[in-house]
Amino acid sequence: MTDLEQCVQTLDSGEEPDRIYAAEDIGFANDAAGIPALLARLPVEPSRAVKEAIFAALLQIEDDGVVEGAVGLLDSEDSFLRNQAVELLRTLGSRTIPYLEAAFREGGPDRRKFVIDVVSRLADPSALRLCRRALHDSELNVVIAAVENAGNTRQVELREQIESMVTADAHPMLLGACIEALALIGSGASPEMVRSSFGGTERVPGYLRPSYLKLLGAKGSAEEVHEIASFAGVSALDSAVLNALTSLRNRYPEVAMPPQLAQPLRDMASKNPPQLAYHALRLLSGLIAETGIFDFLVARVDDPDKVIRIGAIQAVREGGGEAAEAALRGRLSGETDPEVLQAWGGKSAQ
Amino acid sequence: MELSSDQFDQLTQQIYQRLGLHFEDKKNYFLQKRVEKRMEALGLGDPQEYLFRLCYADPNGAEMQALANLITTNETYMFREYEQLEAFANCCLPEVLSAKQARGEQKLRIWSAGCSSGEEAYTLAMIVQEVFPQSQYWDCRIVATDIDENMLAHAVRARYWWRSIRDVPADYLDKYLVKDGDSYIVREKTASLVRFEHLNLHDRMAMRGMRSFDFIFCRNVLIYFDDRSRKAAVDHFYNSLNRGGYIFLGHSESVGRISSAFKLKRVESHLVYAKE
Repeated sequence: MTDLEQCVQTLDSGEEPDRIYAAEDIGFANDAAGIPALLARLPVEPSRAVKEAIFAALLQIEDDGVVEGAVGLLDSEDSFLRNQAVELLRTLGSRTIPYLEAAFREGGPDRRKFVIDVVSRLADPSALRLCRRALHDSELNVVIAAVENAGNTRQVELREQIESMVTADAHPMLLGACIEALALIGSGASPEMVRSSFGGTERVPGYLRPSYLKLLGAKGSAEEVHEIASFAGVSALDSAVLNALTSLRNRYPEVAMPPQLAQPLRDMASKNPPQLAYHALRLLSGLIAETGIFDFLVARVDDPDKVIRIGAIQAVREGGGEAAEAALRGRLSGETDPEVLQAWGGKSAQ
Repeated sequence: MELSSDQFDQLTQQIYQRLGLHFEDKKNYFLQKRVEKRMEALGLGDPQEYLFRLCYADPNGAEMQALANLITTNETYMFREYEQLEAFANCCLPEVLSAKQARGEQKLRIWSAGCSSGEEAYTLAMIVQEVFPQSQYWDCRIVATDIDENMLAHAVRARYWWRSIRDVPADYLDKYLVKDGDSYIVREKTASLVRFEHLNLHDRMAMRGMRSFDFIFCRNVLIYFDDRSRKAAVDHFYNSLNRGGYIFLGHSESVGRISSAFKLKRVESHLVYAKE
C-alpha cells in the first residue's frame, strides 16, 4: 500500500486527529490522486476541524481536479461547504475562470450567484465579461450580486450599465444595490442621474435615502452639501447624514457647513452614541463662529466618554484659535488618557 | 482626513476577517491615526480609496500586514492582558483541575507558543502555583516554545528588567521573584515548572509532536502569520489540546475567525475557546 493510499484509508479513521493528519498529508503530497477521496469525505465528515483540514489540503494540490470539485460544492446543501468552496475558488485565482464560466452557463440561480461572488474578486478580464452578463440575468438575486460586487471591486466599466438600471419602477432591492454601487464607482454626474430618475430629491423614496446620501457624500460636489443638509433633523437619517458630510469634507476640506446645520448637529452630538456624536462634534468645527457652538464644544471636553472628549478637542482646536487653546488648557490640566492628550497635541499616545 | 462611522465599521470588519482582531468603537481614534499613517505612506487622500486597497486590492496581504504592524505591539511583559489571565486563573484552570481530579489524573500541561523572552510562561507558572498549591505534587509542566534561539536563551536565564515585571501584582513580586541588583530573577521553584524548547510553528511534523495539552497560550503571535499559516497553526493547536482544554489567543484576537472547530464559551465577562 502506498503512503497516499494509507492516508486515504486513514480519512475514515474513528480518531479525529488521525483524519486531520491524513488530510494534511494528502495535501502535502500534492498528488491529484488524493482529490476524489478528500471530496468524498467532505459530505460525511462530522468534524468541522477535519473539514477545514480537507479544504486546506485541497488548496495545496495543484491540479484542476480541485477546481472542478470546488465548483461542484457550490451546489451543496451544506452552507459551510458552499462558503468554503467560494473561498477556495477565490484563492485559486484566474485558473478557475473557464470552469466558472461553464458553471454560470449551465448552473441554476444559486450556483450563478456564487459564481459571481467568486469571479468578482478575480483580477481577470473574463471576470468582467461574466459580471456584465450577470447584470442581464433573469434572476434578481444574481443581478443584485453582480451589482454589489461591481461596486465593491470598483468595476467602473460597469458604471453606465448600472446607472441605466436606476429607474423609478425597478425592484427596491435592486435600486438600493445600484445606488450603493454608484457611491463606489459612480462619477460626479451620478447624483444628478439618480435624482432625475425619481423626478427630484424630495421624491427619492425614504428607504433609498441612506444610500442616496452615501452617493452624495462619495461623489457629490461641494455645493451638494446643501442637499445633504436638507436631510438633517430626521433622526433615522442621522448616521447617513453624518457619514455623507464627513465623506464630502474629506474630499473638499474647505467646504463650508451651511449654518442651518448648527442645531441639527448639536442635537446629533447630544443624543447619539459616542461614535456618531464624535462625527457631529468634528463637523461642528466648521460652524464654531455660530452662536453657542464654541461653548457647546468646550463643554464636551469634560465628557466622561473619551471618544466625545477627543471629538470636542479636535473640533475646538480646528476652529477656535487662541481662545480655544486657553479654554482647552483650563479643562485638560488633569487629563491622563494618552489618546486624549495626543488629540490635544500635548503629548504623544503610546 | 476622517474615517466616517461606516468606513470605520468596514475597516474593523476587514481587520477582524483577515487578522481575527476585534476593535471596539472606542478605538476609533487609535485606528484613525494608524490609517492616516498608511494613507500618507501610500499617497492616498481619501479613506475610501484606502479601504478599497485594503479590502479588494491587496492580493498578497502586504497592506494588511503593514497595517497590522501599526495596530499591534511587540512588547511583552508579565501579566500582560491581565483580565484574560483572570479568566484562566479563576475559571478555566480550576475547571480543568477539578475534572482531572475527578478522573484521578495528576498531570497538567500548558503550552506557551511563541513565548519570546519567556514572560508569559513564567506568568503562567506563578498563576498555577498560586491557584493550585498542590501543583508541587502533580506532574505539572509549562512548555514554552519559540523559533528564536536568542530569545529562548534569554528566557532560560529568567532575569528581567523592571519593564517586564511592571504589571506583576505586588503580592506576587516577593513570592515569585527575587531582586538582584537592577533586575529581578524568577525564583527557582517557579522557574523549574517551565521548560523551554525550540519550535517553528510552521513545521507541521514538529507540531504533531506537541500533544496532550490542557491549555495553549498563543497570544499576539498569529497576527504576524498569513492566512494559510495561521489556519494551519490553529488546526495543529486543535490537535494538540486535550478535550476540555482551552486555547487563548491575544485579547483582541478571535479563534472563531480562524477556525470553527473550537467551542466558544463565556467565562465571566470573557469569551474563551475550548475543545469539546
